[in-house]
Amino acid sequence: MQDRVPVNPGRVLVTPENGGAAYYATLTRADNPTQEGTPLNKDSLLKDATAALFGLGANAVPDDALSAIKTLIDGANANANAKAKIATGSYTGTGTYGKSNPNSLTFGFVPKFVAFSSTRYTVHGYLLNPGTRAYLSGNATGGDQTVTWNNKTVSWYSSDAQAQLNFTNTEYYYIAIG
Amino acid sequence: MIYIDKTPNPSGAYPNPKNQPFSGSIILTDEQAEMFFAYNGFIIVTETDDGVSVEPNVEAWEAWKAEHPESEEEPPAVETTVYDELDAAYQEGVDSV
Repeated sequence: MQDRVPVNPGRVLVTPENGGAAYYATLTRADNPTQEGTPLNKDSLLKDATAALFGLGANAVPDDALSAIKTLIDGANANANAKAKIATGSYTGTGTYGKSNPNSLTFGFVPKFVAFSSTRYTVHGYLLNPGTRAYLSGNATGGDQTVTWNNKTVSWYSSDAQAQLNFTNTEYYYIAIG
Repeated sequence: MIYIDKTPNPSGAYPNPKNQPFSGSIILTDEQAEMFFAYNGFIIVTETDDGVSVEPNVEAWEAWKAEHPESEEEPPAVETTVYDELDAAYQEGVDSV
């Protein structure tokens, strides 16, 4: 960005609309400000050092910097989206089980691994995408699970509530990585 | 407060309610959650201007209970008792030192 550098600061050329001869005059503010205000110039809008932070040169204008910010944000988002994500949470068992009563969990990303625990029972097992078979056990009862992975949702069922980690009023905790 | 899926399972019961929101989830108040758990998730959810209303899906619940009469057997508490005895023995040993 470049500041204007006048030889005659404040000088203007006045051209009367009535056809009279044009003449020079100097305009000086006389509005008695109670506060001077921040001047709009290179120093307040886009210093060279600030432009350099965006990889821009001394001729860059504020619009160039704003455009560079957008590019940086898009790049950061793409970078973050490529990283592994983790989610934790809990659910409460209802006592149902079987093919017509699967458990399910939905995440903000595609889960690749889901592990469980409980403060009430010893829980073993985990789910690993894209495996459609797994073994889970809640306390003494364990069983094979049929697992379905559907984008950001995983569902599973087994032959009894404990094996399915869905015992009534039991809180189960999970961690998912994707 | 609990969060349930919008769509019930084929049996009519809603899947395991979560304790945090997720995409497409429906919020049930504590009062509605009580009914949810009392009927093992067999409820009918109706959307209203203020949220949702719930009522028991008694027919489906009764049918499920008839097919699963022993599904709510509590596992034996033997494990907990053993831990209590071990804990008492350990404490006795520590106190004797």
